[in-house]
Amino acid sequence: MKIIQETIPKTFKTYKYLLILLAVSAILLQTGFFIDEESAWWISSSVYFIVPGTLVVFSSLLTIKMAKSGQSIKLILLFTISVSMSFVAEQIWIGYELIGVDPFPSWADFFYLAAYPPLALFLFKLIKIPIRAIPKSNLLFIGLLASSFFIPTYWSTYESIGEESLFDLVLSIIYPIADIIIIVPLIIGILYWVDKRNNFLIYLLLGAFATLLADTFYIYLFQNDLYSVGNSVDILWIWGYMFFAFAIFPSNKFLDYVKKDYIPNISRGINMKIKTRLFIWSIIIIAAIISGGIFLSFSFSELYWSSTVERTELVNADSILIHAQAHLVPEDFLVGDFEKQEKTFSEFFRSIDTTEVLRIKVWSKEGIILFSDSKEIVGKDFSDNLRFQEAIEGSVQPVIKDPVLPENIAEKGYGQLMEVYVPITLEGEIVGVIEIYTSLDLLNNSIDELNQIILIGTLTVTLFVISIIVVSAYNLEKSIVNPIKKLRESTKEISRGNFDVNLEFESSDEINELAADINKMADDLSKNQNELLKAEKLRSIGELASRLGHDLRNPLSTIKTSSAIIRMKAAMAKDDKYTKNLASIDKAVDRMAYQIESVLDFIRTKPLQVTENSLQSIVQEAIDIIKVPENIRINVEPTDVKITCDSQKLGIVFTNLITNSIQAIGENSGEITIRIKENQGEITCEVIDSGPGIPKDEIGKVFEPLFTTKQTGTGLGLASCINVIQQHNGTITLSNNPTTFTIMLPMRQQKSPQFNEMIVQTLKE
Amino acid sequence: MSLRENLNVIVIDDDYNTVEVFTEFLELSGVKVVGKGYDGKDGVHLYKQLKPDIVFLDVMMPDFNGFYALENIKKINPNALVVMITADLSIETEIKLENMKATSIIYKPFDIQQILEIIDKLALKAVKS
Repeated sequence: MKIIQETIPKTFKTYKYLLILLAVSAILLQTGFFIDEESAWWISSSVYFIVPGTLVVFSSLLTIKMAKSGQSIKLILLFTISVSMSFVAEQIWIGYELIGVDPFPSWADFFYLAAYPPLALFLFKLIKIPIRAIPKSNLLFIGLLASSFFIPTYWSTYESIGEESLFDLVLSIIYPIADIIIIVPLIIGILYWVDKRNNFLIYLLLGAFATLLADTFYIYLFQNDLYSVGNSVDILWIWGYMFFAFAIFPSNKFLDYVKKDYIPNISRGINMKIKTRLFIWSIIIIAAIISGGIFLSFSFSELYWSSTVERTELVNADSILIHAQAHLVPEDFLVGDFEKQEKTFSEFFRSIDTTEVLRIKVWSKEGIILFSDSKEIVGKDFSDNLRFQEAIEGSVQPVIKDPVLPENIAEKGYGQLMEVYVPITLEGEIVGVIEIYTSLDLLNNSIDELNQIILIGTLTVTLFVISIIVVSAYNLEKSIVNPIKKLRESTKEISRGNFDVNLEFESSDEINELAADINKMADDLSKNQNELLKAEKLRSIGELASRLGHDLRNPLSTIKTSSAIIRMKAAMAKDDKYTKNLASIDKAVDRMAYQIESVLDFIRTKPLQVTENSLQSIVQEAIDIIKVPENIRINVEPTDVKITCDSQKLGIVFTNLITNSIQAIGENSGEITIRIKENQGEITCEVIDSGPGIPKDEIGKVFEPLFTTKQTGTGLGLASCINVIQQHNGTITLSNNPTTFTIMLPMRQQKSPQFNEMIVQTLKE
Repeated sequence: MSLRENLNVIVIDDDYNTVEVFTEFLELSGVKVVGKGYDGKDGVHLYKQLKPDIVFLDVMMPDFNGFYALENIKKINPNALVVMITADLSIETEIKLENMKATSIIYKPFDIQQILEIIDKLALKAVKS
């Protein structure tokens, strides 16, 4: 990069001499048009010697300078070698020019070709960064673009060599291939660096430069009759227009610039938007259709023209010959009486169909005109006419003539003409030549018509394709680009933490499915986040509770043991006046221990101890533990089922539920009903109480840990119920009127991996 | 009553009050407390010195905890009778102690009746061995 910047002139002041040299060279070249080129070969010396020579000197100097300062000279050396090689090639070429030969291939070609590999290496090394940055698909696109130069270049080299030897053929392929290899890094570099700076102005300038070059070359080629469709010039044009397209199209930077608040966006890269891609592909497709049409029209007319001309030629020649053989004798072709011959041939030509034949000449064997429409040439000797000479040897000679040539002034009013020299063989000997002029206007007109039809066809197809593209672009905008923008906005919302996105689209395509997925994702995320929050809350509570539990248990233990000691001492002293107080202390300690234990029980989830049980008996045991007040009647319906479960844990659930119901009923008399049902492997157990029910806004909260309406509650009873039921893969729900807890349990538990549960507080024998 | 009186025990707990109260309770119940310690290291040291019949050992102690003491006492005597007394209800602790062959686990606040039952059973065992 540095190297390049150093060799590019920055300002007029710094590179004064170089710029003056360039200007002088350019002016010198222009004088070539005014003076005789042959005598002033030095005019072109600037092109072949001075400027490339300066380049060689400069790059060599830079190489030496860099080597001296200890920098890596690999890159610049490649460049120096390349320019030196082409410099040598130029000198050899000048040498050939001076001695007046123009061999191809020559030693100059050897050096020209030798200049390519180091240049290619140099360029590829230079664009290492963009090559890595550009997506693979873009590289493919660039490769295709570069190879568009192949055919025109190959064609011109091939045409100038022909296919005389294999070596020539190979050489004619190597040049275009080398060009393509060089052009790939150029395209990548241009696309990358121009776009990196995101400066549409550079695109505009490149576009203008390319089209201007193409225009200049086109005029030159056209004037010298060298232009043919698909020439390199055409490709240069395409390049120019493509640069214009790049400059104007992407995201209306041009408008921004006009508004004067244009800020280049450096990080954009060359990642094209969907619409840009569509646009580029459309251009490619339309270009393909148009070039296809042009190709069709050319090949059709070429084929049609040549076959028709050939036919006309043969038909005319044959009919003239047949008529001549029928009506003429060899004496008619002898030089002699022109007036008699005038009569003979006039009659002869009147007898044959000459609607297409415009003019006739009759040649004697010696090349003297015996008869012609233009009287002034009769009797004159044209034996040096090459066509005549060939014809008199026996071959039919066709010549196509354009009306602009002075010889054909007489035929004014007609377009292209075809002359056919027909050798006349009478009695086995060529006696003379009849030359007929035929107009090709009819043929050319029909070819023009054909071309018009093809052109109109191509235009129609192009218009059709353009309208399809416009319609699909509109649809694309509506059905893909806009929804994608919407999706992007909502995903941004989600990442900001707003899960309340509700995307809706009319159609049911992939985008719609994506929208549905995003909706679902937002929902799930929201749920997950809530659950995470809940879990986090529980975890911190759990940690706090277990530490608190541990810290409280130590002093409790001391209190309890102390009370035991006092009781023992009192018993020894036969003193019973503290007995009642000590019992109160013990009761209070036990109650505190129980409270702590229930919190800790809730926190630690032991694995299930699954056994087969009667659900009825589990319920009954739970009821037995509870002190049921007199005012409440518990009614357990007699249905029973066998269930595999952790009876101890399930017992706690029922204890909790029934206790809860008792507390809900309170002082009034009431009833608690427990109903067990079984249906296809699923057990339903309802605990129904006659209490006042749960306020509507609290129904969702009762299972949450630490939710309580009571002064003395731990807020863990129902929460631990839901934990146990969930461990059993069941559900628990709550409804009012009457207040009903509904537990649904599967009859059998899948065996969870058991690890030896400890037998606590019992001695191991 | 008679068997209890032949027992020599040591009590290890980081809480001074607990040690004092528990010792007094044991003495009143006729059990002889021959040593008192306040961390795991004390426990191992006392066991080595006094070879008591039963060790009452707290689990959660600073620096050298009950696990350390249990492990090292079992190294000295694999059949040593070690009763763990803890306020830690976690299942992990329970499993760990069980794996380390703790003789018994008692949770604070404990019932004195429960302690006495265990002492009596262990007294039988101590006599047998």
